[in-house]
Amino acid sequence: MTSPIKPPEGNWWDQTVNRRESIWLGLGVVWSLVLFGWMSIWTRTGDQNPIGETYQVSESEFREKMNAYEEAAEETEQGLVPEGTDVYMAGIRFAWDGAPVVLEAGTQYDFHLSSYDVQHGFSLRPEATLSKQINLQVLPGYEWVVPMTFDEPGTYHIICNEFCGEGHRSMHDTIIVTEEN
Amino acid sequence: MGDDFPPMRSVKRWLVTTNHKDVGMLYLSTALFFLVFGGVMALLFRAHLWQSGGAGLLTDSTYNQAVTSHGLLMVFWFLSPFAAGFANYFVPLQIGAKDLAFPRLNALSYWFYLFSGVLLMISFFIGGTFEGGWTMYAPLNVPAYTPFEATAGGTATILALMMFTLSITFGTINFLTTIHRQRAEGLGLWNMPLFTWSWLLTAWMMLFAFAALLAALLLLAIDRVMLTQYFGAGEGSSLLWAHIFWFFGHPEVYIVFFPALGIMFETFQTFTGRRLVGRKWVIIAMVLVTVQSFLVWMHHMFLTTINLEIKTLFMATTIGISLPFDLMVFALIYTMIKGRVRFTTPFLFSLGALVLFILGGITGVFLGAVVLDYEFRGTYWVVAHFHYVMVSGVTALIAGLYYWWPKITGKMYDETLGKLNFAVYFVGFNLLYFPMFLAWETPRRVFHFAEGMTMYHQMATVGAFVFGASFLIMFYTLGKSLVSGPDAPDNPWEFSRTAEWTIPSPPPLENWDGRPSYATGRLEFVEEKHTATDGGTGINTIEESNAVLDAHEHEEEHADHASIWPLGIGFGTFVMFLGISGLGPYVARFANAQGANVDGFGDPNIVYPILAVTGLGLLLYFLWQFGMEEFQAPKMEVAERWPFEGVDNGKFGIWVFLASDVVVFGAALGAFIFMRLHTGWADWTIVPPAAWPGLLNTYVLLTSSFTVILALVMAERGNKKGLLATLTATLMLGFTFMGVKAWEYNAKFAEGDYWFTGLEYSIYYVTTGLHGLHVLLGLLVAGFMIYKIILYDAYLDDHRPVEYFGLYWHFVDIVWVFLFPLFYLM
Repeated sequence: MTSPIKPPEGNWWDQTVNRRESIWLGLGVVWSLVLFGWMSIWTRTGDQNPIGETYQVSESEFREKMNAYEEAAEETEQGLVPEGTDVYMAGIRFAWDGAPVVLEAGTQYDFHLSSYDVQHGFSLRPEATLSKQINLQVLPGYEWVVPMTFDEPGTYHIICNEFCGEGHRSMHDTIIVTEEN
Repeated sequence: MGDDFPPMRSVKRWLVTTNHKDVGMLYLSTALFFLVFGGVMALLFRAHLWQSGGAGLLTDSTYNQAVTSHGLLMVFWFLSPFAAGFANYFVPLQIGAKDLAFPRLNALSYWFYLFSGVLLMISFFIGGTFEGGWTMYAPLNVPAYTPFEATAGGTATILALMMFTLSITFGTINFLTTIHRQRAEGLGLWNMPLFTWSWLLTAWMMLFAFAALLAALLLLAIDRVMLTQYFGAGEGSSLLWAHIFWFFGHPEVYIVFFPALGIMFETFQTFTGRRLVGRKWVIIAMVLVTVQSFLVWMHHMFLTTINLEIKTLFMATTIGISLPFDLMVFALIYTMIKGRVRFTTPFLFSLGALVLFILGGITGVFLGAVVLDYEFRGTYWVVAHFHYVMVSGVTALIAGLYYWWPKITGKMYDETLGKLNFAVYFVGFNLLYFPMFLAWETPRRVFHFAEGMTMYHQMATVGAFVFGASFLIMFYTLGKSLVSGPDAPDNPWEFSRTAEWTIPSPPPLENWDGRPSYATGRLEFVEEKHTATDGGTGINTIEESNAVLDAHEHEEEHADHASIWPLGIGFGTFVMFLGISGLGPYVARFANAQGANVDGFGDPNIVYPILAVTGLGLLLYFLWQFGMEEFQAPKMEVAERWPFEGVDNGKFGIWVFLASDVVVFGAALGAFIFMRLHTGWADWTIVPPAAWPGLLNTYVLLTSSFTVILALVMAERGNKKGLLATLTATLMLGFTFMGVKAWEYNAKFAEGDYWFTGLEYSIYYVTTGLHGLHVLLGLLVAGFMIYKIILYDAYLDDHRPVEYFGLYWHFVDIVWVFLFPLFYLM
């Protein structure tokens, strides 16, 4: 039994590293680099969750954009039908401005997300499998443009996923996705 | 004074004690209280989560409050202080010191901790505690988004956390000085026990991380009380908060986990009877993590609007930080393979901690990938992951409790009960947290989940109660041991080799009988005669290093262990902070009278200003008494201090404190630069009325730096008149600085520009005000020193305090050298 306090015998600091150990270390380093590179490239070019672009925007600017968008869109029983492929949505305690919205499956939309007051969480979940989600933090002062395509028609729920005050748990709206025309 | 130190059974003992073992016990028991408190909160909302939509126990608001306070209590008021309790007790013992470097500061840090907890508890009853999550994201954390009846409670929570942060900073300064300067002779850094190593690195991380948190909380508190606009909606405030908070928040994870890791290393060595495999590399790995912990914070912000390049970079650093942990885990496993394992209660808990940590660690690697975070963030996956990591830390801390219990109390506990405790604990833990992985799709911050998940959530709730019950078993086991347990030997564990096991259980007040030394390579106690006050013949001449002792220092052999003033300072600060938490309505009224449009505040309540003023009065009085008290900290004449042989304890403490203050100012200046870049550098309103007052003040302060150097020269020469003259000159220059500042503020007020007028104004007033506050504190200290020179001829024999003050004063000047161009010229 050697003592945990006592240093090992001899000149342990300058002992040469075994050749096989060096090879293993080298392999470890190379493998880490491969993993890092793979992860980074995969994030950019793989068929992964879209990242999108962000822009700085003031609350009033975004409200203007939202008004113009709502004016151009068609009001239906189920919700707004946007004119083009741009969809605007903003969190405001405790509702989603611009929702409910009616979209088509198979079309790529650009979601413009922002908040009028505090931070909200934009968690999007298909009704049938609530487990599939994409989740973004929606911050006031920023507009986030995220490209999204809905593969399946159906109802999608937008759930606020960041604390935003007393009514936080009731902050919920829907996106209706119809069949491809 | 050491003679009339009250005994353990007296209440007075616990109010005045500054002994590291007493303070350690206070920390441990207080932390256990907050564990129960935070645990009850968790049981409350776990019971509420019995069915989707809630079981009717909590309302929307009380649910948010329970979740928020559970997070705050566990992370801040339980985990770190519990580890700090062990550190208080055992770090000095492991390194062979008699006490911490600054015993009164140690007591002060405990009282700040206790009273901050009391303030947090009070916040529940003054309108409701903070309910925006433990991360306190902006801008939900400002009064505009808080129900007005809850503003005082929310502000009290923030101030309580601020007080806690101060407590940590005091403790940090103390531990860094102690470990770097008070190690027993021959105990080099490489040979330091691993728990002490882990705590040393924890302290370094705390020093910088908690300074960032202090800055964030300071700005937030000023926003909430004085109505400045750092975190109001719109101008990038949510990102600003997230950056500062997580710059603290990620190192915090390691701050919480490192002491637990240290306990795992210690217990693994003891109960496998092996030196830890790869000990040197484990230490290097821990140092790496310490440094790297400050470079990963943005992985908490993968779903905010920062750009992809930065996200990728932080993804790489995040995955990278898991590598040193892999090394540590393998070292632990290999130690078990090479050793002969004895499954005692502490070892079972440590082994459990390792298993849980591996699970928690692996599930965390998923979260490090940006694209996976889109799926996982805000779900129970995250909840399960960090509970596996954090509560695995708790598991190791419980191991520490069982490991060191015989040493602390001098009593053994029932091993069977201990093992039963572990069994219930481990089953309860996994029943509680594992279903969360299965129900991972559940959104985190609401009490709704898909119907299919009900079974998992009910399992978790049952698990929560089983887990809670395991703590009842623990309290029973330990209580029974205390009442009727057999006496513990010095070393009940056979193979434990650290220094605390060489002395009786419980250790005597002065720790050592003879001076601990590792000069020969193993622990020995060097004989020293303690009755040397009659002429200094008691020095053991065999030890060459003892030659540094001179008879003068030897006269101060007896050390003090009692001071009531730390308690007073803590209490005064507590009363003041409680008062400040309700001042918002007065400021709002004032602002509205100046034409601002502030709402969201209720009616003012006269109790708060009275409390604030009373608290400030008490604080100043007790600070005065603290400064006047003659206190003899236990000295260490012979010690291993590499590489800080040339820096005495006081100076080392000051340097460390200044290092943390650099981070506080750095965060404040960072906030300014961040906001100005966000607004557009050229679009920023330059607030000061003119550049010349700033320039004038620059000259004034630089001159005062010169006079303070002269003061040191005079003190070294023992020239009382010269010392008085130069210190008074410094004081006068400081007053001149404050006068110019007051004129400048006044000129702005006359134009109707207040701190609540706009973002630029807030930042100008707060940043220069923070600096002004430092100048003011310096002036108070200078005034106090002048008083002591006049009355007691102070500092003529020992000029070091003048030097310490000078260091602080230079630092304040240097900060101004940065503020002047940033705010007046650019």
